[in-house]
Amino acid sequence: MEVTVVLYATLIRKNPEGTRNKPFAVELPEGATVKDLVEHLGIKENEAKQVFIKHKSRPEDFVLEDGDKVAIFPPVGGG
Amino acid sequence: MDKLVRVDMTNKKVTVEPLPDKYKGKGGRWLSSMMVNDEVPADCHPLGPNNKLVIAPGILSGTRAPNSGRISVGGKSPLTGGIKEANAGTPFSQNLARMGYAALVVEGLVEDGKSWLLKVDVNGGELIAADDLKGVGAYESGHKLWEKYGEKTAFVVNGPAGEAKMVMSGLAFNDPEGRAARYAGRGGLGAVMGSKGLKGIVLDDKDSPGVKPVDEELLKTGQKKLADAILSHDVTKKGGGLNSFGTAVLINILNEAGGLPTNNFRSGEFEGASKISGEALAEAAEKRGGAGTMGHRCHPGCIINCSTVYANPDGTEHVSSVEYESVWSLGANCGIDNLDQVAEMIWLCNDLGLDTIEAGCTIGVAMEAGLAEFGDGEAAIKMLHEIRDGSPLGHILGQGAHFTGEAYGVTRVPTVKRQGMPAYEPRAVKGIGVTYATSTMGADHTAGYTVAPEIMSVGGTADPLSKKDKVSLSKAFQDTTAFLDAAGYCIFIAFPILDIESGFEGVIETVNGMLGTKYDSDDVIRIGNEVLRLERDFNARAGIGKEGDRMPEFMKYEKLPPHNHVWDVTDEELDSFWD
Repeated sequence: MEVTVVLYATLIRKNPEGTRNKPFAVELPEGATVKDLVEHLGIKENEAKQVFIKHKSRPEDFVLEDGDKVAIFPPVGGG
Repeated sequence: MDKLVRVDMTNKKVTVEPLPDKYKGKGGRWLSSMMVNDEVPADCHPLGPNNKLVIAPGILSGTRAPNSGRISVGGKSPLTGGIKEANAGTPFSQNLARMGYAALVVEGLVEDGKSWLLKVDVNGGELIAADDLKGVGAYESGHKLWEKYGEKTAFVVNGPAGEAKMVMSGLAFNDPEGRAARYAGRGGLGAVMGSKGLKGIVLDDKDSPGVKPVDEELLKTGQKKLADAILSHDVTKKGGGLNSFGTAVLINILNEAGGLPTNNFRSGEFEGASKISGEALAEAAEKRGGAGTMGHRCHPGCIINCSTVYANPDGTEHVSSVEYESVWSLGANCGIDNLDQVAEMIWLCNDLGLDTIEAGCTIGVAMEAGLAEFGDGEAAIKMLHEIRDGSPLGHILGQGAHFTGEAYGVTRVPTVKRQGMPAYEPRAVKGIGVTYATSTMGADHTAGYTVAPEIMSVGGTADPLSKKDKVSLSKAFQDTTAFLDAAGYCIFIAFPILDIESGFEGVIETVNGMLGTKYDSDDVIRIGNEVLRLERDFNARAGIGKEGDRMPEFMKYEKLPPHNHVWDVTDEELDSFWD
């Protein structure tokens, strides 16, 4: 299956060459979880603080579906 | 800090008084709200002779405690009709504290229609005719003050909107480079200063005695603990989110969470979000070079450095600072995704002396009324010029979102106690909605920032869409925040101290070191709550009771996409905040 990934803030350095902070596609086996995706991207566990899918923060064991748009954030704050 | 400066604008008299015993050991919001509660008749007209401005540095301002340079400004708000405390990070706070002044109190009003400047030094103060600055923009006023009085002085100036007594106006304090850009923005305090005939205040801190902590060693111990926490927490450390992308790093996460108010609170999702985000700001700074800067600081001693300088395409400076609240209010809330247009609007607001949150909320309501299309940046800029020109439309807009909504018969008006809502949709982030409703200040995110656990998983985790336990969550945040506001600490130290216990210990130890007190964590809550209750007492006497703690009706029946939630916290639940 294929999911679309968007990396934000300090994680944009993990984006594929030349894509900066643009969304990019990732192929994953069926049944892959948020944790699998984060590992696949080479992001350390503590760097992926929040993962949003369909407007909700999802836990690491959340099972991905084909076509999901996955937004991954490092720890951020502001106000 | 055992003295206060009292300025009687009616008789043009400036006196230095010993600080009454009851105010000793107080500072920031604690002191300004106490003095307003004690000295300002709650039923006075906010723009009449009986209102006062109280300007107080935090308890720790002027010390080496990190991020402790917040100045508090209090008075009766012409926007909400209740008590107002707005604060800003600026060298002004540190200078005032080092000069030995716990507060500046401005009272009365001039009857000659002229503009005056208050100049304060360690020996006292004097009023100087300032008609040359009348109607001059805040930026140019600040530059002129530094030209005349030197770059070591600190200042606060009022913009033309405040001078014209528009209630959307704030007060502009200097940043370290002399920009009049650090705003005590909310609640119309610019109009209060304008009503008094005061254009600004200059501090010359030559020969200052400095601050003298009771227990220097304890202060140092706490200072180190807090600094270590700030510099090790992922949100606030060097190279972390705030430092690298500014406060606008929040645009994308709020958008992904469906909580970024868009097109006057019609939706929680903005298609153009990424174009006005902190990431876009950082990219512009990198590509355009020149003046563009991330990691700028609002006052010396700040070790987070979340302020920014935004450059024009040719690298020359456009505006500082581009903050989350401002790019949201003037951007997403108006459907505008052009960062250069948003930057121009922020510059205009800063120069005019406008609160960017109220300005964006007002333009959103004006667009709702049909004065322009959502997304029309040029039309939005033109509205700000109407305010500058003082046209009849400009005077309507200058009175804020609530007033503009009334003028045009708009029902979708996002305000509480007539103050425009900040950048978090309460239907999608319920805890911050409780803060908006119950805050003594009107809709104010800084009063109790439950967004930290609700959206960022800082200080625990709470489901933003659930109302469960949100009243108690907001209460805990509001109590603690009022204490931080008293200490003069930046609200962003909340991120590290929520997660790192030694950081919170550092906060208490710095205050105890400064004052010689023995406060513990219970006292933090107790003191914070005491501040809130005296503010509520003022509001009650001003005619704002629990009926003021209500959300706009449209939020109770309009479902907000993408989550399609309504505001479902009941009025009874809101009232339980004060039980």
